[in-house]
Amino acid sequence: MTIKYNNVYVEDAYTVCGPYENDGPLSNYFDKKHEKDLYFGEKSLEKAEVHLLKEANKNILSKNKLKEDDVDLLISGDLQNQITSSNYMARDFDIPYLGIFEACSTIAEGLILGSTFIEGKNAKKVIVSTASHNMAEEKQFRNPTEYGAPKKKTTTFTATGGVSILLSNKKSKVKIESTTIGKVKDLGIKDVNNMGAAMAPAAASVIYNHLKDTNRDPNYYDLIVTGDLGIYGKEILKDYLKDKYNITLGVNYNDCGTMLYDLDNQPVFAGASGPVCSALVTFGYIYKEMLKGKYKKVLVVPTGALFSQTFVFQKESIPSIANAISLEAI
Amino acid sequence: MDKKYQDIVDKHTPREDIVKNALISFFVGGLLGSLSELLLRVYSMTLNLPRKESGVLVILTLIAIASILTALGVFDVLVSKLKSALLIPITGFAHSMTSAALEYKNEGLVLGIGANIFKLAGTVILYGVVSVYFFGLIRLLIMGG
Amino acid sequence: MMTYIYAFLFCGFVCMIAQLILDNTKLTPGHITSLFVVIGSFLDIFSIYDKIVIYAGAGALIPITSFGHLLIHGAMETAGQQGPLGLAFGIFNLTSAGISVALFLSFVLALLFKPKH
Repeated sequence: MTIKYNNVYVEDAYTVCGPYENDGPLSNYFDKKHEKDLYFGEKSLEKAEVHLLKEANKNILSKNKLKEDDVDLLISGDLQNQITSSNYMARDFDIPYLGIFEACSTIAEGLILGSTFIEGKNAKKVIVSTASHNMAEEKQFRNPTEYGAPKKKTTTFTATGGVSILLSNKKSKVKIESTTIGKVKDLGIKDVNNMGAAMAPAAASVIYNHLKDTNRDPNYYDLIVTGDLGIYGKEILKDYLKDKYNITLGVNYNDCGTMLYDLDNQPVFAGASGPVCSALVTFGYIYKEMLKGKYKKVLVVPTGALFSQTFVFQKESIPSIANAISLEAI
Repeated sequence: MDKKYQDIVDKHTPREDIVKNALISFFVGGLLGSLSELLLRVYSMTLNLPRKESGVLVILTLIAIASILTALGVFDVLVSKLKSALLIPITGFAHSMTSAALEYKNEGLVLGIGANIFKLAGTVILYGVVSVYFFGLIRLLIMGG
Repeated sequence: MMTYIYAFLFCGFVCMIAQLILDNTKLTPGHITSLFVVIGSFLDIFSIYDKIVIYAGAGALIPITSFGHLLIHGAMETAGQQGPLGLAFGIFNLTSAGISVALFLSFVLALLFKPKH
């Protein structure tokens, strides 16, 4: 399903990142950088993730001199069970709240919903936020964080950060031009250490459908980015898109997971992942470069793996989702 | 499972450094073995203990070192470099327990640490015990004791 | 003197096998250590691991295989005196030091430290 928008703009974005992202190549694009550790003064890892979301959302309000009353809707999601990071952040904000989840494609789901509320004239200003926290996610999905289980080369490194996006009907430099809602795809990948392979089919499907629905080809965009397929997932996507959908991605294609870190010098294996990965790269780097005029038309395709430990242990494979967001500088 | 897709995935999945990892595990594991034997003899001589008791002390020493290095945040870095050489000796067992205890302290003494300390090590104890009931019985039947 | 060499060879060998399994299968460290414990107790049905300990000394005592060896030894010592029920009575005798110290230290350290990135 593809929707075009006439009145939805990115009024502003606020990005918070952790130490690893601060050491990466995009560090200068983030508004707030935590350098010391991953606790940010909080007692637990989970509370630290809440901290990131609160920080991003509080700052976007103050930076734009807005009161909570000025915002019609707060949409947020994250990787914690029951999306507790977003819920515990939301209790500090007196704004109608929709908690959402699509793993690392959560930000796209949020942008689609927020945009549709604005286009349908049910909201004038919507905040969409997401966060992830490397250690909190390791604890929940893998092993105790101090446990040193050897990692495979295809493993990705969950990014730490919080991102808040202010959508509004007020004309701004960057608009949400259109969005495509993806379909869940599962081609039988059971390897939780190879998320790129699990998610590429969903990315391919939504890219194909978006281009078909808008009658465009990949060259229409200055930049097409997927969320967090990683070094190997990127190649899998390119081959699979060509093979199944006869679409060739050229030099204008990149993956946020391979952009967030210095892959040669940081211990991040196949690249960054997590809901905040695509959000940091898109609304830190890409958005700021669009404001400067470097990119005019960008297609962002955050990718998510919709599994749980329980289902993986029950020998299930990993279904995935991806949604497409078309950003345009006007 | 989509076979054609699996082929594309396999094409772009890097091989782990199997030989390098195996050699590191062999040499570091071997070194640990020899050093432990040295330590056993040192305990035996300085504390005047028979080999059996010294052996237990060596095991306890390794457990203590692994737990302390885990708490200091160093052991996981060592494991990522030295691989199975640190996970297979009793150091791995201690490391799994200390890392689990550290992780869950925020959830309380009972519901956090207590409920989770055996998260990774429990399987070793469980199957060790289960196997002994089977194999012990077999040995009793075959060899009488 | 040869004990040092056999210690090196045996412990190194066990670690290497574990690493090969880790890199070539979907088994995790948890699976492999569990398997090795079972192997350790299995090898003592016919006192094979006992012989390995004689040759390789501490090199045979420190891998997790020795945990299985110690469990079955403890069990057999009391089973020898008391019959099959003795298995239950003695099983943890030789491993009580290791398990209790690991528990105690983990607890104390958890109170004093927290996980770092």
